[in-house]
Amino acid sequence: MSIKKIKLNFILVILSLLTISSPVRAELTIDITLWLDNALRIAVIPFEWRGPGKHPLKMTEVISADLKRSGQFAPMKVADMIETPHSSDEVNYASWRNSKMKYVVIGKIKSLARGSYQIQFQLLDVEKGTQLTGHSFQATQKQLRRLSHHISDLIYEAITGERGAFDTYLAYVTVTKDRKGQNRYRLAISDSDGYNEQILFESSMPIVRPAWSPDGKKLAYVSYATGRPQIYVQDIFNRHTQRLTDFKGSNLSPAWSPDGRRMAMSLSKDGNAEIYIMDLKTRRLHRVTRSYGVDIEPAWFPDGRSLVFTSDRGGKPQIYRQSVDARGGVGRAQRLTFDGKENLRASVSPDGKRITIVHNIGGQYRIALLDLESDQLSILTDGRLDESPGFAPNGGMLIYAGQAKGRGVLAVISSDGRASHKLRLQQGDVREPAWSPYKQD
Amino acid sequence: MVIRNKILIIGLLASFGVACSSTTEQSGDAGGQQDASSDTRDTAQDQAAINSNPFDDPSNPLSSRVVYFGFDSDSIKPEDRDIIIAHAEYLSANSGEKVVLEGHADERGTREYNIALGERRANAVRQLMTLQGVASSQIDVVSFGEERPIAIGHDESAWNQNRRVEILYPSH
Amino acid sequence: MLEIFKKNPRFLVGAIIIHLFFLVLFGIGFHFKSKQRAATAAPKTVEVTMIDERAVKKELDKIKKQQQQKKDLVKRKKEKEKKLKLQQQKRLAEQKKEKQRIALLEKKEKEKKRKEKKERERKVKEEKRDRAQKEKELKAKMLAEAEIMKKEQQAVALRQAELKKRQTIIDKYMNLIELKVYQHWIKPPAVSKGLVSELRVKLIPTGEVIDVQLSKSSGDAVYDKSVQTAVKRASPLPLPPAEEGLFDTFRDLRLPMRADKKT
Repeated sequence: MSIKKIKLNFILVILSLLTISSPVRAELTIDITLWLDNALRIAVIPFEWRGPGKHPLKMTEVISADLKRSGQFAPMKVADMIETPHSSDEVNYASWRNSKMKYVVIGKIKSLARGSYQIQFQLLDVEKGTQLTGHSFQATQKQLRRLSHHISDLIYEAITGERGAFDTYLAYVTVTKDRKGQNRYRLAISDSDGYNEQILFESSMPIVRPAWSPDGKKLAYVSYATGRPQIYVQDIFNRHTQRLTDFKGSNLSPAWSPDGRRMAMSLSKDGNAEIYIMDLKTRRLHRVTRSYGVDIEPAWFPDGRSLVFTSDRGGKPQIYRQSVDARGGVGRAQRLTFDGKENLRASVSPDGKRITIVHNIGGQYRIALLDLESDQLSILTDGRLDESPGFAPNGGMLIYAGQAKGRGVLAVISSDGRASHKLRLQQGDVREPAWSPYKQD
Repeated sequence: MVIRNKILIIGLLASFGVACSSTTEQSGDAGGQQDASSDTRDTAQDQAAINSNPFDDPSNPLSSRVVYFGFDSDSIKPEDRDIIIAHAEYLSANSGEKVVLEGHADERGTREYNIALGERRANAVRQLMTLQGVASSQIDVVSFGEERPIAIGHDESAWNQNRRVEILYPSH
Repeated sequence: MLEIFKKNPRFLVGAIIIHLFFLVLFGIGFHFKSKQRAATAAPKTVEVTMIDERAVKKELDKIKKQQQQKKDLVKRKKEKEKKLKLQQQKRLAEQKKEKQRIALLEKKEKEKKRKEKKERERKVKEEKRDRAQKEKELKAKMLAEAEIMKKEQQAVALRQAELKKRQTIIDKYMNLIELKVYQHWIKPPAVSKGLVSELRVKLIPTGEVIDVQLSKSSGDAVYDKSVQTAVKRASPLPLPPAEEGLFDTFRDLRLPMRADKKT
């Protein structure tokens, strides 16, 4: 071969290599819009009231507030409603379409004899001009608020296909100052919107960590009534209370197993805080962790076969997962969080696919979601000291404790971060929220 | 000659007393338990009274009943070792005495983790005491985490004051 | 024979002369014959006349000669007749032949004509058949061409439909991908409308996301991170079924992600 030929071949080889190594492949462009306010527009029209005297309760106000709090709905303001139909033949779908409403709720409440009421409602699809669902009820005045939440659940489920979590309870601790300036602690429960507060227990000593039993009938909590933190269980309905622990050291973090038969807890009786599981029938303890660090704040996965908990065995508090079996056997602890300086106080979603945690970023403590399948962390809040996050029983909303204007408040945020709502109570500090499971009556 | 020596000795003792009082500058607002130091500032002339209540004597390390900690830490600061040792020595000498070590933390982090942190701090103090020969039965440890802050504030100065272990004598 | 006489009256004359001659001769002969018979039968007293033998011989010779002449004449006549007959025969034969020939010719001609007619008819038939065939073929050809065109049109329509279907499928899955990513996006606190982060994403055929790169920042690092997290959480992304063969279209994605408000 002549030199020229060699050169030519060389150039050709290079060119062909170039074309092989950098193929011109078409890229598919998909424009993605991330809506900041994709809430469904719904007009919850005040129910027609038939009866003597005043409205017993403005049920549609409760319903609108519920739907708004979920983050998925944008209820129309009553002042903006041009028409207020009460039955489906009065509904002018065209005008609701003009108002850009997707759904309309209409209803009636009628007074019956002896303090009971008849309530009916219909949920209408504006675009299709048809009814999505409709129900009729009978209730006493006392039951009306709960019925409103139940109607919210029915509306939510008919539209989103997912179960609503409005007919549920919240448990929390409030702290006020008594006349002497001493702290007064109260363990309370309320409706999911903060109404109908009931005090279960009061003390001058701290109360922390209320935890609902899976059947929604009992609350476990930690109280310093004896001078040191101990775990108690109280039946909500008959108020019967029993003490579960009397170990030395600190007895903290009661966590009911999904079948309600066991309680995970953090006990420091053996030197430093470790996780144990107590059989509620036999009161026998099985030890889960053995580390030099603090192991605390356990939470169960829905299958009852593993726990997440906070441990600072690595220096700073992070979240770990460990399997536990019915007989008390345990697996190896596996670290879950690697993002951020500190991660604490994990709660598991009802479907077991996500956990919500307190995440220290730049010295600020914020609520974050860790998706266990993709290992991706998303920060939901931007407070400076947000804590005690927990899921609603449908996994669609979270509740947590935050700070507003120097006071502790509870906030509800949709699990996609798109809507948040602060629940403010009358006075004092509110903290340590826990969302009840679905009511079982 | 003898009187001059006495005056000298008294003068020396006085300056020694002043020096002592200047080292203990902690103000004891701990949980409203004791209010010792403010009452007993001019101790130079009360040497007899000093001996009767060492806890109220600011020159006595026993009057210091709070030790402080760094963020997320349970390490005892070198300057606090002497205080703790002094208490340990007192307890060793008075085996009937009981002490409660109350652990605390600042508001940052979660409530229960802070209870565990406070307990760890109190345990660190306990460990130092037992090394000094104090019997475990004399020491009780409890942690309040962030539930009983001394300083209500959301800044470093408040937090610094809240990260502490209080040494409490229930009998006093 | 009459026709020949008509044509050649000399013959007729000749024939007549000959016949007369023969008649004479015949008479003479007959006479002689009868004399002979009489001679043999009974000796009749006959008047004998003494004939000069020489005269008689002469006469006889004359007669013989005459007879011979006659014979010759007759012979000649006969011959002539024979000849004539022959000629006639020949002629007849020739005529016959000719006739035959003519007849044959005519026959041939007829035959020929018939054949030609047949041929023509056959040709006509054949032509007809050919034409019919050709028409049929043409029709068939046209039909076939029409079929082909139809098939081609169908193929084109099919291809267009396939392309449309392909595009519809692509559009459908683009929408599904957008929806899934949106559903998995957790809005960080404080995001403003109008932020756009652009990502470059690589997929494998299961839809699993194997690489996410931030190709353009929105200027807000928290928002940038949230969109990357959304894509990772949404993995595996919905892709058309393998049998559609569309994976290569979706292999490399460019995703501009814009935060927007509906109101």
